[in-house]
Amino acid sequence: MKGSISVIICFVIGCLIGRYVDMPFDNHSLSISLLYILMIQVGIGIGVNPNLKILYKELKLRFLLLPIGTVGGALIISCIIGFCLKQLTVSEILAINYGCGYYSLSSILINQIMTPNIGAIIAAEIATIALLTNILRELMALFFAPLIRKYIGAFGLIGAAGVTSTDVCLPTIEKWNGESFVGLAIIHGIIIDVSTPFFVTLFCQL
Amino acid sequence: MFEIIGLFVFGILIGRLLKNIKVLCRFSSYVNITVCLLIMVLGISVGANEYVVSEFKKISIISLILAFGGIIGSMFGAAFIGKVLSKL
Repeated sequence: MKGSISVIICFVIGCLIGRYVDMPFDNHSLSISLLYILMIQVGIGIGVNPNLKILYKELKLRFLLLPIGTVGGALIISCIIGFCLKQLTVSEILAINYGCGYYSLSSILINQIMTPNIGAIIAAEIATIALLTNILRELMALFFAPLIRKYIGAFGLIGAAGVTSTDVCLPTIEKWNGESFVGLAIIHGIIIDVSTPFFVTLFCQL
Repeated sequence: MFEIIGLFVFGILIGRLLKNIKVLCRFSSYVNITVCLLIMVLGISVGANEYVVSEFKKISIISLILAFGGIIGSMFGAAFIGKVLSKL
């Protein structure tokens, strides 16, 4: 929650700077360098995670397939929306929604990868949509957690949390689903986390 | 875009091999700062972009639709797969 609010604040500050100050440096190369640092940091974060092995032992192997439901469901709905919505193509919506709440990485990847193909203006627009979509999704998951748990069930709540089931939504999941779901929630988030760079890159280039 | 995925995989390997080095753990724990800086840079290109600023209302509505659709899809998708897996 605190993380998503600080991201919104940074985004608004950035918007104001961009609107009223003429930047003396090249925005694009700065963000590429920062993105490279981010990718290494995210990778190291996954690599050094000491919980990985313990979780792996505790968990029934077949539940590793749960993220397929989470991502698959999001992608099916994205396709349906893609056919109804004229402003975006299906592959753009797939790239936006694949992150399942991973606002930082998906919006930045979309911006970088799409800029050479469709131009900086449209790429920034789609990246902004990705950022807002994924932040809103995270906030909805936190806000509606009790209702989702009650009417859809424990797996539904983990799915709704998406990638944030491993960090931001984990305390909420623990509260409503019980401790026995914590391991599954962490692994579920990590699997989506690891696969996001591959699939967002893929959908951006379709 | 191979360099992005390459660096990501490189990070995982480095983290796995050198997980006892504290500096490395600290470097990766600063990920929030990098994210905030990057989002700010994204904000700068959005703010400087007349088209996106003028279309912001439309963008917000589309985002809301996509977020709602995404969460509904994930929720039912995971509930379905979870139910199938529990029965196995």
